[in-house]
Formats: sequence, C-alpha cells, structure tokens
Amino acid sequence: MEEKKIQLDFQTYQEIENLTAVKDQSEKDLKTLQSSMEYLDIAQKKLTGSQHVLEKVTPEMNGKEILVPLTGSMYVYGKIADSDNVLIDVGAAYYVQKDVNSAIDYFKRKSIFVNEQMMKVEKYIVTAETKQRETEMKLQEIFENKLSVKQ
Amino acid sequence: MAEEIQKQMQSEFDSFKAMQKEYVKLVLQRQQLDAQMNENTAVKKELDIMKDDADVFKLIGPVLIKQELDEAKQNVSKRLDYINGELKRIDDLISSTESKREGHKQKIEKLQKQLQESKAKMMMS
Repeated sequence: MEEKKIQLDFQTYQEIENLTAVKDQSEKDLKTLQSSMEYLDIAQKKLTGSQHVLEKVTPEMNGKEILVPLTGSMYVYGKIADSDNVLIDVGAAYYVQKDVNSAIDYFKRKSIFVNEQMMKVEKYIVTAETKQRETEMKLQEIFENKLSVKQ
Repeated sequence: MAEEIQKQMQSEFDSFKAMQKEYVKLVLQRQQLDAQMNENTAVKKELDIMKDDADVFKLIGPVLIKQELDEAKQNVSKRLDYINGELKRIDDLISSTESKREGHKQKIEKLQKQLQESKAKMMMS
C-alpha cells in the first residue's frame, strides 16, 4: 500500500492545534455548565417540594397523630405540637424559625433565585454550544481544503 | 551539547508539571471558597430580613443550638470577611503560580529550539 504523506505547512498545523484546543475547552465548559444546570434543577425541585408540603400544613393539624421516621423503614408515633412554625435550613449550618406563611414565602423567593441562575447558565450553554459548533466547522474546512489539495 | 539541553529540558518540564498541579489545586480551592462565599452571602441576606425576636439555631454536630440573631449575624459577617480575605490570598497565589508556569513553558520552548538547532548542526557536519 502506498503511503500518502500529507505535508502541512507550519501555519496550518498551528491553526489546527489552536482550534482543537479551543474546541476541547468549550467542550469542557459545556460539561461543567450542564452539570451546574442539573444541580440547579435538583435544588429547584427540593425548594418547590418543600413549598408544596408547607401548603398542606394548616392549623387544623395541631395535635394530630403522625408517624415520625426514625430510619427509612422504621417509624414511631408522634403528635404535632406546633403546626404554625417550622425550622428552615438556610445554609452554613444555620436554621431559622419561621411561621408557615413566611416559610412559603422563603421557598418562593429561593425558587425564583434559582430560576434566575438557571436562565444565566442557559445563556452560557447556548454560547458554549455555538462556539463549539463554529470551531468544529472551521476545523472541518481546514481539513477539507488542505487534504484535497495535497492528494 | 544535545544531551545537556535535554537534561535541562527535563528539569524545566518537571517544574512546569509541578506548577500546573499547584495551579489546578488552587483553582479547586478557589471554587470551594466561592461556593462558601455565595452560601454565606445568602444566609446573611436571610438573617438581615428576619424580625429581631426571631429564633435562630446553629447546627453544631448533631444538635441545634439556639443563638441570638445579632450573634448569628456577627458570626456570618465575620466568616464573610474571612472568606473574602482568603479569596484574595488565593487569587494572588493563582496569578503568581500562573506566571511561574508560563516562565517554565517559555524556557521549554526556547530549549526545544536550541535542541533542534544543535541537531541540525550535527547533521550538517
């Protein structure tokens, strides 16, 4: 079999190398952004979940019997002593007591905040995707031009 | 001659790799600090809008300890200051590591050229 040697001038070689580096970088960026998006999505679901549970917490619940989970599969009986207030984990090991309505408000606010972050990340994802596509096209172009000329 | 250059190049390359490792480590630390900073800023915002008589607890190990709102606010502010200081320190470290790494890279490139030249000379003679 005859081996075809493709001669590339130094400039083209460097261009290919640069473009490949750019492509790799935007691929990496894209992966990071997508995993951020997943994390935000999980956070969003937790927040709206807590909010929905709180909407079911009413004053009529006072004194009602409930099952308190000790482990995932073991429960003890308990009675609701206070259905007006809840403790919220606000982060950095701090918990604050809030009444149900302000707690719902808290989760709504957080949810909006997370949504804003998601929109920001979405924008970056689109930019990274376009960049990736553009560099790929440029690379393709170089390969087609240089290779067809030399053959 | 060529051997000498190669030896030098190897040691430069080792230093470059060490700097690169250091750089990656620092960037990771920076990311963690950034996350802590965001978390504490969010907590501070939340504490700031709380009513004065609100109950605040801090999770220490497995128990929640009640804390005065003012004390909690102060603690979070202090932590934010500390984190900000650390961020600055890490940023300085990152830029100095970066410039050191670039210095090694340039030296490697220079040595590579020298090596090629000396090889070309050997072929000629």
